[in-house]
Amino acid sequence: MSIDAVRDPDAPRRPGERLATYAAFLFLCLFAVYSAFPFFWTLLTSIKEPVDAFATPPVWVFDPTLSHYASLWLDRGFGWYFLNTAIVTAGTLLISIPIGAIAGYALARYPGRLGFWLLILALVFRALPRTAILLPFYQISRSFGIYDTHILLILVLVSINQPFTIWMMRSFFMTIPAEIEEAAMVDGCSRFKAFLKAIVPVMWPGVITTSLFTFLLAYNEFLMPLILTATKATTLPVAISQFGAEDIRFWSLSAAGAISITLPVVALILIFQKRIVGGLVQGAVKG
Amino acid sequence: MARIELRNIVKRWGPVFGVRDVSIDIADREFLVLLGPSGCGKTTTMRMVAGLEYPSSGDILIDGRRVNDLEPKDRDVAMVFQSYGLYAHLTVYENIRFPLRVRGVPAAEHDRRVREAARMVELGSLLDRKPKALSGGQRQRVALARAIVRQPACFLMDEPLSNLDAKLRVSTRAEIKHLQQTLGVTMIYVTHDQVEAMTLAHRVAVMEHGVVRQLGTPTEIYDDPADIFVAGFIGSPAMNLVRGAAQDGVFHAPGLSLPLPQHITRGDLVLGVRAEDLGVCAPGEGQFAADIFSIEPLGDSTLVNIKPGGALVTARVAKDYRGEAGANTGLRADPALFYLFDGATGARLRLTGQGRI
Amino acid sequence: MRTRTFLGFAGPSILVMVGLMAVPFGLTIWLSLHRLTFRGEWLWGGFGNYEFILTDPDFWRALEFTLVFCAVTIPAKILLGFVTALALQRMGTLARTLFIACMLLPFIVTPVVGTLAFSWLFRDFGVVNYWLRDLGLGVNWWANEANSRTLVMLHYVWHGTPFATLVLFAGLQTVPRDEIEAAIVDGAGFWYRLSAVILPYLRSLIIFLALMMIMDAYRVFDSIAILTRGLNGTESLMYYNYRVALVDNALARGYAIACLTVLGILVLLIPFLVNTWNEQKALR
Repeated sequence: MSIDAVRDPDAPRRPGERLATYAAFLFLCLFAVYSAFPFFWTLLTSIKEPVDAFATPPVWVFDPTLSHYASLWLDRGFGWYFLNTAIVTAGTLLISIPIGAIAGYALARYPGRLGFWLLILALVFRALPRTAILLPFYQISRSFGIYDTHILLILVLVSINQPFTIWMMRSFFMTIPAEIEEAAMVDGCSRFKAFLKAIVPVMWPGVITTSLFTFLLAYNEFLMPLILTATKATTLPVAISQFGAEDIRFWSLSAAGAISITLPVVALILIFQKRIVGGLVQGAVKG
Repeated sequence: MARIELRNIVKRWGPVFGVRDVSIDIADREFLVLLGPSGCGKTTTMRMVAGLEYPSSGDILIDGRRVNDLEPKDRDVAMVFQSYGLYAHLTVYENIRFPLRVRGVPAAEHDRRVREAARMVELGSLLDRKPKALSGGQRQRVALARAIVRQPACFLMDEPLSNLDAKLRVSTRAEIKHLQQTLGVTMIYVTHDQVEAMTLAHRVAVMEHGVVRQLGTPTEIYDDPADIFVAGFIGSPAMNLVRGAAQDGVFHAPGLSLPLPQHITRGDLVLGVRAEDLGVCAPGEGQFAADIFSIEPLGDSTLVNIKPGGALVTARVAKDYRGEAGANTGLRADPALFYLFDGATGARLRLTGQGRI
Repeated sequence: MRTRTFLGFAGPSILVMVGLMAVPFGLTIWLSLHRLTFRGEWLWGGFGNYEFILTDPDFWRALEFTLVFCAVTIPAKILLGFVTALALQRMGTLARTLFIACMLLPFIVTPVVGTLAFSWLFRDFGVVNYWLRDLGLGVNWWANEANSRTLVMLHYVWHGTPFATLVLFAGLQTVPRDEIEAAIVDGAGFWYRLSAVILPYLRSLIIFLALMMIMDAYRVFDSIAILTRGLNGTESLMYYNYRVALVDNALARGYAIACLTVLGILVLLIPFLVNTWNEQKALR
C-alpha cells in the first residue's frame, strides 16, 4: 500500500499529486533505461557485424547475424566453460544446501547460547574478504594436486557460502511453527525423523530462495576461479574476462559470450523475481 | 464544536460496496457511536469524515460547509487511532506538540497547550518518555492528548478501547465519557462492542453491510429495535429469536405458543423476547416448555437454557435459582414484552399501533 | 532441542566452516609471519612482511582509494536508492514489477559481465562516449587517475543502487500506516511527513544498509579487475592484495596484506557490534 499517495479512486484530483506521479514515472523510466542499457547495447553488439558494431555514429538499424555466437560456441569451445560452470554450480548446490538447511533448522529451534555464537561467527566469516582464505587454498591445492579441479572450487564455494546459507535458512525455518515437528515427535519420531517427515515437505519455498542465491554466488564468482583454476576447470566469468577487453577485434565475440552468460540469469530474474527480491531484502528489514 | 451531516454517503471500490447510502445528522456536542460487526462500514464512514478516504458519492458537511474535497488537515477534526499511531521516535511531550508545530501555532503557545492537554488525561509525569516505554493505557492517553491539544471541532475515535485489557477498558470508558462532556466536542466513536455503545452514546447508529439499520438512543435501540439484526446485536445474552408461523392469531413454534394481539395467519415469522424478561415456571404455565439444556451461573444472575425445537432460548433468572439439566420446565414472560419480526426481511412488525407488536 | 541434537544437525556446517574457513584463515595469519625463500622454503620472518607493506606507497594508495571509494559510492547509492524507492511507491503493481525487473539486472547479472557491458559504453568508440563527445564532454576515461577513479565509482553505483532501492522500498512498506495517517490528520504535508515520520523510522535500516555496503565496498575486486586492472590509482585493497600475491608473486606479503585487510574490516565492524550489543541490552 502506498505510504503517502492516497490511492483512493474517489480522491479529488490535486494538481501536485498527479504531477508528482508523472515525475516519478519518468524518473523510473530513465532509471530503468540506465540500468538496462549496457546489457541492451551488448546484446545489439553481439548480433551486429563488426562494421556495424563499432561504427560511429552508432548504428541502430542493421542486418543481424548470429555468426559471433556460432564462432564462440563452435570454434572456441565456449560450451566447455559452460560445462565447468554447471558442474561447479551444481556441486555447490548439492552440498551446500542440505548441510546449510539442517544447520539453519537447528539454529531456528535451539535456544541455547551456542546457537547465538555460531550465528555471530557466521556473520564474522561473511565479512571476511576472500583473500583471507584464498591464498592458503592456492598453496595447498598446488601441493596436493587438486589445483585447477572442479572439486576444489566446489569445496571453496560451499565453505564461503555457508554463513549466508545458514542465516537465510534459519530465518525461513523460524517461520515454520514448531508444533509441526513436535506433533511428529509426540507420535514417536526422533528429532531427525520428525525433520524429514514434517519439515522437509514444507520447507521448499525457503530452500528454493536460498538455492537461488547460492546458485548466483557460485555462477557469478570471479576471484576464486581466477586464482584456483588455470585451464581445465575454468568457469565462465574467468573465461570471459580473458577475451581481451581492450582488444577491439574480440569485442563482438566477447559480447556474444556476455549475453550467453547472462541469459540463464535473466531467465531466473523473470521466473523468480519475487523470491529474489524477498531474499535480498529479508536480511536487512527483519534484522 | 460542530454539526456534522452525512448525506447519502456511498463508498465503493468497483463492484464492492463498503458503505451503501448512509445518512446521519450529528448535532453539535453529540456523542455518536457507530456500532456494528467487522466489515459493516463503520470505520470507513468515520475515515470519510476524517478525510482519509473519500466518498464515491454523497456529501459530508461540517457546520454546513461541504468538505468532500478537503484534505484532513483542512477539516478541523482530530482522530484517535485503534493502534494509537504515536510517533515512536518522539517523546510524549513532542508527540502531543506535533500538531501544533505542523499547523504553525505560535511557539509561545505550545508549552501551555501541551501541558493543559496532558493534565486532562493525567500524563503530567510521563512527558519525557517515549511511546515504547509506556503501557497500552498510557499510550492511549497520549493519543487522546494529541487530539485534545488541537481543540478541534470534532473528535473521531476508532475502537480506542479494543487494545486494552478488560479492567482498563471500563475505567477508560468512563474517562472518555467525562472528557467529551468537559470539552463539549462533537464525537464520532466507532466500536463493535455494544456495551461501549450503550454506556457512552447519546445516539447509536447500528450498521451492517454498509447501511445504518437503526439510528437512535441506546434506550431506543434496546427497547425498540428496528429489525432482527439490531435486536440480536444489542443485549447480552442476545435476544431470543424463534422462527415460527401464526395461525388464527396465535404464534406457533415447537415448544412455544403465544396469542398475538391481531388475528393473523401467516408463515415466516420470528418471535423475539429478551432473556431478562423471561422467568422460570411450571411447564404449561408459560409460553415456552422444554427440558433444561444447560444452566450457567453468572454470579449476579443465572442463565437457564432450553432448546424447544432446536433453537436455543435463554432466560436470565435470580442468582439463587436451583434447577437441574434435563428436567422439564416452562419459561414465561409478560406477553407485552415480545417482539415480532418478518422472517424473510428481518423487519420489525408492528401489527397494532400500540405496544411492541 | 538438546545440545547434542543441535550439534548433530549443525555439525556438518560447522565442520565445513571451521575446516574450510577458520583453518585457512588461521594459516593466513600464521604464514603472514613467515617469508618465502627462493627455494620455496617458509622461514620465520616476524613482522617483516608487515613492515614492507606499511612502507609501500602502493598500499597506502590502495587504502586511500578504498576509503574514498566507500565514502563516495555509499552515500550516492543510498540517496539514489531512496529517491527511486519513493518513486516506486507511487506506481501500481504492474509498473513496479517491470521496473524492479530492469533494476535487478545490474545487480544480479554476473558482475564480470556487467562490468564488461558497462565498460564498452565508455571506450573511445563506445556509445556513451560518443554521445558525450557530441555534448562536448568527450573524455578518455582511462587517461588519468581522476577519470579512472570516477569511472570505477560510476560503475559501482550503477551496480549497487538497486540493492539500496529494494531494501529501502521494503522498509517503506513497513512504516506503520497509523503514524502516517495520524500525521496526515495532524496536518503534515508530504515533505514534513517524510522528515518527521518516515526518515526517523528508517534510520536504523539505513544504518544497517550502510554497514552492509561498507562491507562490500571495502572488498571490491571484480569491477576493478575488469575495468581498469588497477591502473591509475584504482587499486582497491583486494586488488592490491591479488596483484602483490599472485601477479608479483610475493606470496608471503600477500598473506600480510590479507591480514591487514581483515583488521580494517574488524575496525569497521566494531562500532556496529557495539551498537547492536547495546540495543540488545536495552531490550532486556
